[in-house]
Amino acid sequence: MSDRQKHVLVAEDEAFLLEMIRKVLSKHGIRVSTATNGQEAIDIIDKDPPDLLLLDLLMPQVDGFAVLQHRKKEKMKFPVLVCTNLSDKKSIVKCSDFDVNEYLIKSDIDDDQIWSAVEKYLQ
Amino acid sequence: MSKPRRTTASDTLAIKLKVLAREKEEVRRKLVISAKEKENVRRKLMVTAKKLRLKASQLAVTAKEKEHVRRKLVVTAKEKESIRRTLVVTAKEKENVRRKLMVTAKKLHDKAAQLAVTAKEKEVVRRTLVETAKKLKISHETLEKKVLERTKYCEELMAKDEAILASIGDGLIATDKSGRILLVNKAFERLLGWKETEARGRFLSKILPMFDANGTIISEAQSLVTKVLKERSMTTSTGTIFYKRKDGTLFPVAITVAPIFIGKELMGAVKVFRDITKEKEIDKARSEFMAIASHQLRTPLTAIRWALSSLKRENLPEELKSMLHTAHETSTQMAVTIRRMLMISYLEESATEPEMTQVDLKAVLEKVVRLHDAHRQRNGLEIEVLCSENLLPETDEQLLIEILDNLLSNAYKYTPRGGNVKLRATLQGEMIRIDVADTGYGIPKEEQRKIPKKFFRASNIASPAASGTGIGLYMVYNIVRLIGGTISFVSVENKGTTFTLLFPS
Repeated sequence: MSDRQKHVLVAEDEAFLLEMIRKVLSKHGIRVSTATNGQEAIDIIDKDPPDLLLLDLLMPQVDGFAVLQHRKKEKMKFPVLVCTNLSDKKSIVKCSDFDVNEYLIKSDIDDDQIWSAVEKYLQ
Repeated sequence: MSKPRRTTASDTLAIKLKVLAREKEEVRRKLVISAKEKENVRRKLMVTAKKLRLKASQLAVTAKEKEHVRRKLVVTAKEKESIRRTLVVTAKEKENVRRKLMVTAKKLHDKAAQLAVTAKEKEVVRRTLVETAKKLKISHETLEKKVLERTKYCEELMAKDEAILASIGDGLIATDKSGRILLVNKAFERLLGWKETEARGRFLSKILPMFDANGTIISEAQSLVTKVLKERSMTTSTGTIFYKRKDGTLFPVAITVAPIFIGKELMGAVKVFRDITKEKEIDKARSEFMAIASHQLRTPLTAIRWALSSLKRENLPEELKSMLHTAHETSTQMAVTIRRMLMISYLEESATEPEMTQVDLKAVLEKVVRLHDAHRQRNGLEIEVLCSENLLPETDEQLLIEILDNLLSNAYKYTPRGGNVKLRATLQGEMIRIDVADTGYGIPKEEQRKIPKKFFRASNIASPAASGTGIGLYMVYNIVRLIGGTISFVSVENKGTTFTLLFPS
């Protein structure tokens, strides 16, 4: 890791899970921004572009796909790890069109496994 | 004879001489008589000779006459012979003529007889002809009747066939060898909006192009009819194909195309298609339900699992730690069950197609290993990953992950503490080969043939930690088939198991 503190944006509508992720990442010295829906995430991306985005797909009002659309439109290059409980083919295929780096199923991993996935893309 | 001393002898002799002289005289007398007799005889002979001469001359005259007569007779005989010969010749000629006449007569007779027979036969023939004509008339009438009946029957049969064709719910198209439409049924008209009169004689590919799920037209070279006409065997569409109605709207179809043979000659192809909009809707509804249901199950499960995982890291009394461990394991198992349930549902959907993309194999292996790393550490196992550089196969990444995930999770589950697992990926010809080798319990020989049955679990699995549903391998075998690969294994009890996956690169 470089000297500069890394900035990770976490977009997750489940407050409990959001807090868990925030805790894990903070523990590893990451500056964590949080958003509970797509619009909040887009606003943060525009104001304070992150080094990595940890993105839930199913969120109220504006969903994760809108955020991916925005990143594509703005030609932003930061890595995105989708972290969702949706595993239908359609969602997965859609994500691959948006150049997503990893597709993680939340219930299939432990909270600390999120760190090992994130860590890889921050180096 | 004159010796004096023998006077007696001379006396005998003189007697004898006197006898002899008498005898001589006797003979002389006799000879005179004989001469006289001879003269007599000579005179008589002379007379006889004269008589004889006369007689001879008389005879000569007679002979001459006789000769004359004989000659005359000879001449006559000759004439007679000539006449006879002539007569014989004539007779022969006459005989010939007679014979010829006989032959001619016979021929004439025969001819007459033949003519008589011919006349009779002619009569018979005439009668037969009359009979036949009568019969023919009857036959003709019967035939006409039968033809009418048959025609009626054929019409009924055709009407029946047409009714059957018309009643088929699936669209039907018959084409000739060049792909020109020969016949379509009512369902074709109903499903596509094209009338039979508009379709017949036109090229199938022109009137009815096929589209893939993205709305891209499928080239004629790749069409099923082209394939069937080339390979001369039946084929069924895989994946979803769309047809365009006359009004331009698309709808999904399942298609079967079969070649038409008359004898051994390929005449064309028959295509049967079914509107699968309903099936697609059902599939869609099912996968939507599964997506929502799994999401709804997973969301609270994630909270439970993460909370337990987080708590496990706290410094807690051993008793609590053990309880948390069990709770965490159980929640993990539940997550696995949900994932597999989804996968089975996906595999059982109609027309499931793999999503082929270029896959970085090394990254995939590392990801799978990372996902199971906690499991591995917990079981005290070593992992070794060997992957040749730059293996970038075209395959379905999710499905490949699912396969490897199952194989690796099994290897960890069924290997005792201290063992090791090797994950090796190499290029083997045009195929990618992945070996997952463990030093575990192995699968008993007598049970090996039961793989890949649904819910199979080896009987030698006693470890309480090694919980499993037995659905994993069944799923793996099905997924492998889906990505066009093969899977095999070698297992020795208490030595270990190696699964080998081969799939197209």
